[in-house]
Amino acid sequence: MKKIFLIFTLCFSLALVFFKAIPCGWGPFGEDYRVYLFDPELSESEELCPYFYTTSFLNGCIYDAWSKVPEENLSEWSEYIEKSAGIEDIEELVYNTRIEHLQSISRFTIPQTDTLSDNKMVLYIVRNKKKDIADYLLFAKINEKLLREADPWAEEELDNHALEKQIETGKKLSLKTKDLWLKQRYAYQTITMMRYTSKYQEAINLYNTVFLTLPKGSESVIKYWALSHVASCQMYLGFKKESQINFAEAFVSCHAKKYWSYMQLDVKYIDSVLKTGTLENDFNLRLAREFKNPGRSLDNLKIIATGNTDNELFRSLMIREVNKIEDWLLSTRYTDYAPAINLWNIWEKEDIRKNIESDKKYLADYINFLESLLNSGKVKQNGLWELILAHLNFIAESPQNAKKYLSLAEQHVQTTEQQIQLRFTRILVNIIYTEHLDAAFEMEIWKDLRWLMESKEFNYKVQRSFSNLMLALFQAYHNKGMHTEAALFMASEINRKPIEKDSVITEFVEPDVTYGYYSCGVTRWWDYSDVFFYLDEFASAAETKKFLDIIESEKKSPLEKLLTADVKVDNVRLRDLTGTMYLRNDDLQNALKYYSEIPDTFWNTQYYYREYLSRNPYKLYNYSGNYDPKDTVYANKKYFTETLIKKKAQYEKATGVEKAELAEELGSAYFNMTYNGKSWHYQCYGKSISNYYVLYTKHNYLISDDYQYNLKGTEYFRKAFEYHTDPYKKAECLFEAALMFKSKDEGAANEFARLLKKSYPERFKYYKMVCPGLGYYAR
Amino acid sequence: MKVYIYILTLFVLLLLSCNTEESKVKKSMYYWKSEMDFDRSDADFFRETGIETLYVRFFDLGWDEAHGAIPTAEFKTRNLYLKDLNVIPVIYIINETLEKTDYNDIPVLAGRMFEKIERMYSDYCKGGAIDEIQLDCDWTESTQSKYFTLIKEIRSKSEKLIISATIRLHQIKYSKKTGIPPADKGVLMYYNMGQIKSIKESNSILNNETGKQYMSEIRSYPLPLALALPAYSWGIWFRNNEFKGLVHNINEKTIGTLSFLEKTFKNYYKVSTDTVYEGIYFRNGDIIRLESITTEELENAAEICSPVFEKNEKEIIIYSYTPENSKLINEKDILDIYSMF
Repeated sequence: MKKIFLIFTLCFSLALVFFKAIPCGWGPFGEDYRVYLFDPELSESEELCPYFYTTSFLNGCIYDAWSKVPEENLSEWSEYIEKSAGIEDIEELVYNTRIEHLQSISRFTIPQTDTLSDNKMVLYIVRNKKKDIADYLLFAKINEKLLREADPWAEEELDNHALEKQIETGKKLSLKTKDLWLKQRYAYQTITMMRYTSKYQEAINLYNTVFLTLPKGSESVIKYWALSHVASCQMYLGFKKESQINFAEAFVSCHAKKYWSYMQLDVKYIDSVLKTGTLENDFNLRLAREFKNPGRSLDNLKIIATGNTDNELFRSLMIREVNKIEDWLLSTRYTDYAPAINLWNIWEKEDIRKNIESDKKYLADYINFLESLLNSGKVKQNGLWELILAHLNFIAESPQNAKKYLSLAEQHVQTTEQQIQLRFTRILVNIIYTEHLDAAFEMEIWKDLRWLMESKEFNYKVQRSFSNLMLALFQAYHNKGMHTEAALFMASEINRKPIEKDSVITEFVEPDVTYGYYSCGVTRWWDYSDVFFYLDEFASAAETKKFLDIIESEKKSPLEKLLTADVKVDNVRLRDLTGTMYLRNDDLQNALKYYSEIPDTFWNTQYYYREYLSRNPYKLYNYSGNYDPKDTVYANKKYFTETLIKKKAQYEKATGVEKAELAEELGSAYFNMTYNGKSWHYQCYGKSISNYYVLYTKHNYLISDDYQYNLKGTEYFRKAFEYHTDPYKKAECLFEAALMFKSKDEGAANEFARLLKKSYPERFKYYKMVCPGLGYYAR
Repeated sequence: MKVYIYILTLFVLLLLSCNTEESKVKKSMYYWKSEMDFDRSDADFFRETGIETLYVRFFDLGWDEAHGAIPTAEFKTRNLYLKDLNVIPVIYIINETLEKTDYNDIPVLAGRMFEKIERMYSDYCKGGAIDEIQLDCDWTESTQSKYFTLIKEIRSKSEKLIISATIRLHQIKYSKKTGIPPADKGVLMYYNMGQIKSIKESNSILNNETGKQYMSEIRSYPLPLALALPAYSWGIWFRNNEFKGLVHNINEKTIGTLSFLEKTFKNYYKVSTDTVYEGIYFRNGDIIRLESITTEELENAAEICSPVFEKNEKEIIIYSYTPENSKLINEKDILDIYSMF
């Protein structure tokens, strides 16, 4: 039993090493922090959304991948019935009509139901006596029913008996029907049934007979639906090569069967086939393969580009490559994490960050490739490609080239989506192009930011790309040490006002924007769930003050106004923070100034302040020992600072024992507000799930040497020792100084302990009983 | 001479001697609902009435445009009481199903039906081999061939299996035209003989005048027959003299308590106020014809049908048993019916 427990504990601990546990679960996940700034939907293909570059399965669009009603079929129907009905009517009849109603239509009777009595496709069929269409729809609907329902007799399997009969009928109709359009559909239906009843070779034969003999130009998209089934049959029969080729073709050529085909593609196998170089035309295989490639695609893209480049697939692949490069280079640039795609590859020996140089070189190669494509005239929609080049040069930090392509893109972009992207890219290019992030720069980015935030076509509150843009701007200012401005960008994202309780939520709230106590907080904004903690970690008191002034000021610059319009910060807390920053620097007057602006009620409502600042800081005792319950008057930083100022003034004037006693009090006070003292809540902010603002920031230990090593406190006790005359008091001072002594040099001796031992051996013995470790420190 | 008189007297005496042995009636009932929720009172009913056999409708043979002939209205029960009774599965075959079924599919259909019946029998009844299956179908000239083939195919599934088929009155009278089903025995359905949808009909359940007309051929009917008799009542609902539907759970006792009905003539009632009853919305002016069976009518029926048992074992199957019915009719009435034979 013990062994099992030990093994379990070991495994659990190891798991903890590899997974970062955060309050609400394991994470972060790749998509939580992957940085992308180029919209993949610029490929103009919504249907390709599941196959955009992503670290999550099918880009979270799995429902779209397989459930969307195939519009390509509906548009063909629309053409076939001479546009006599709208898509809705066609969809209703083709997909949602029951068998008995189709039977009525087949007898040229209009079913009197809400959806069919006025259905224009029904009217077209009935008025024009289009029995062949009605018969086909009925046939298809019966098929659908047979393939969806279990055998009513056996309740577990398909109704193979009925399917056999239907297949025979379908075969005859596939061969007999003269109308090529309907012929293909009968064949598709029959092939589907053959596949699901394991008649694989028959399905392949029927496909070859019907579809491979069609006259040119008469192909319906249904051919590729059928091809997907044929590819499955080939797979089941073990004809892997043929199956992969056909899955690739189906993936490339239609939407309805993309998902299934995609799932069957075996990249390793495809690569082995491509290597043989025996295929006459391998474009489809390469195209389809690259949609499954999370790595570098340039080699295949170059080959694919020798074919037709004016299609959504090619555009999508090219943009996909941009998103990959963004992840490889920008995710690391703007977050603390490796590229999102590699998040779970932590067992790889290779240091992922070392890939950055290699990725930069790949970026350069990709830019060259794109430029050659553009110059060759092989691609249309110049605006889009120029935009991509501007964006890539931004990533490459080549301001001149970025500006050059941006200027070209500005002339050529056309669609609204391209206009939106233009603004994104322009802001980003401006960041790298400008030397100083001055007022002129602010005006430039303000124009585009305002456009984006006011655009009806772009809902910035829910777009992750906008959040990434703000991150990029934040980073730009942060890298220049402009923490106030950086904080404004951060606050506009993570301090956005929460949705009011009574309002109806009509839009999805971006997961980056976190509220309340139990937020995960780990996103592309690191552990910050509030700008407060960023300021605490990086800003100076003056910068924090400036931030607060901007928030509270009526007179803001246009950019400040834009960024703070929706921001909610806790002004009282910020004053607490500003005052604390001065306290850390021992600038007590300024600290008191800010503490005085905080209402007294605030201190008492804060549990941690009440609990941990309530003991007398001018006495040196532990949390649990020597504690006088009546000594609870120092429950706020304001009172502490006020009294500290007074005592310091008194100390300067005092002499003798009075000075010694004041020195002791001051020493205790300075010690108590350090890391090892009574309460670090004087100077720091720590994390607790029950108090949102008590969040421990990782930089606390970096605040100051004094905070770590109790320097001031120790010095005051040295003075107290000096001024006391009573040996007992002197010994006590040495003992207390010995307790708070901490050296940067870990091996350094505790001079106070040694002095105590040397000068007051009896007292030393006594104090050793109180604190057994004293002997070690006095060695 | 004296010897001849002696022998003649003996012969006459023998001829006139009464056969005091009572001919035994096999008591059976139909159960026609899809759900069965028997309790102890139902078990008591069967025991006290001496009912030995329950003909349970296992399913109907319906039609689905995609699947073809399919089981519908499938019987289900969680009761264990059924395991104590002798159950004979009945399959009601909708004639339209046979019309639509391809003749070549009949053997496969028979196999599927038999397998399903076996499964259900094993789940719900005492298990073991099935002794008898009854098929209920009002076949027509166009479906005769398919139906008869179906019977043969099902019968061939098990050596000892007995197939009984329901026979309607017109199939007795015009048996040369309608054919004799290749079953082991038949069940003469002596009910549902009238024009249910006609406003002029007096009682579509049992009309002995009508029944009499069909019985002329009964003696020469080649199949041994059991007799099915009705013991139920219902209301036939008309609006503007047009048939609208059936009203169940209604009889002589209950109809008098319904305040929205006024008796107009014999067994006709008029709706006097718009009312919802038994899930039906009756409007003012609607007509309900109450059809039920009297003892006198049943006695009459017994007399008319007596030739059925001239050669055969007497089996009377009463249509039908429902727990609700059992509360409306008492055991004595049921026993009285059996005792008429």
